[in-house]
Amino acid sequence: MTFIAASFVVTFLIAPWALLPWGIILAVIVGLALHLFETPLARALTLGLLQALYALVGAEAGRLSLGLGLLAGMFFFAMFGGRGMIGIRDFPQDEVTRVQTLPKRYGAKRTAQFTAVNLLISYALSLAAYFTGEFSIIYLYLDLAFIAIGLVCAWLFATRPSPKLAYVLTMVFMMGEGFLICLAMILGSL
Amino acid sequence: MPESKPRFSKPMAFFWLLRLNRTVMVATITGAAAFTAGAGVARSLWMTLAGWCLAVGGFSLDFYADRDLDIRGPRAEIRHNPLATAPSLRRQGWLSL
Repeated sequence: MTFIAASFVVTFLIAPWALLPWGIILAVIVGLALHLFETPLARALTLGLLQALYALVGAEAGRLSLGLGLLAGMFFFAMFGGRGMIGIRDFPQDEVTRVQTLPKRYGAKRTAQFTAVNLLISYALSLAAYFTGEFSIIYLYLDLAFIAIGLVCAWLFATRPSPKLAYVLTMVFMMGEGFLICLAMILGSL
Repeated sequence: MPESKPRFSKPMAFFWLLRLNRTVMVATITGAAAFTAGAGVARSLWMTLAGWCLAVGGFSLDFYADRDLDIRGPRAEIRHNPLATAPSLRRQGWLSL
């Protein structure tokens, strides 16, 4: 509660309007803690929704634009699909628990396809953001690198999904791809 | 099933609660979105902090809600919940959770 209260105060002081998506994030977090979203798709949806809402919280500190809206959608689909990758990564451990995951419900192959399709949508949205004219050419260069790496990863994952590969790819996405697109956003808007 | 032994010292449990592998990414998204929206450097950094605090609070809430489940069985090995495995934190409801 200390951290949540600190976040509330800072958000209220810097961007009061951001408290709207902030409140939705808190509601989702409380819902997750109360186990209200236990189905595999609901868990994936909440993960995607949270990432998009965090982007909107930040955007409310300035001017929310079409480009940022598309990027919030990009984060949504990236993490919505990413849940499938996480599910396959954790599959050996999840097998012995009662937790419901996408690979347990739909199988590894269909889950990998689900992830790949969502990643493709997220890449299309990231590219569409450039064509709103809100970003400089630097964004395009970095976004193309982001898409190229992502497409290779998506293709690898869709063709041979395994917990080991999913472990490596989640690192690539969390540490590499996430920071790359954020860097593209920052440098592209200078 | 037997309860797992505490595996975190208090400082280590605090560090684990921060979930830096995830919360830093969330904070980066929030800050990058703020900067992209034209909020300026200072306001973007404040929003980065706000996003990070909310993420840490959210993950801590998740740990707190599952503290009794995560102390037993396979979940104890998988979740590494510091609120489940650090008795002092459980007793104090530390971090005001």
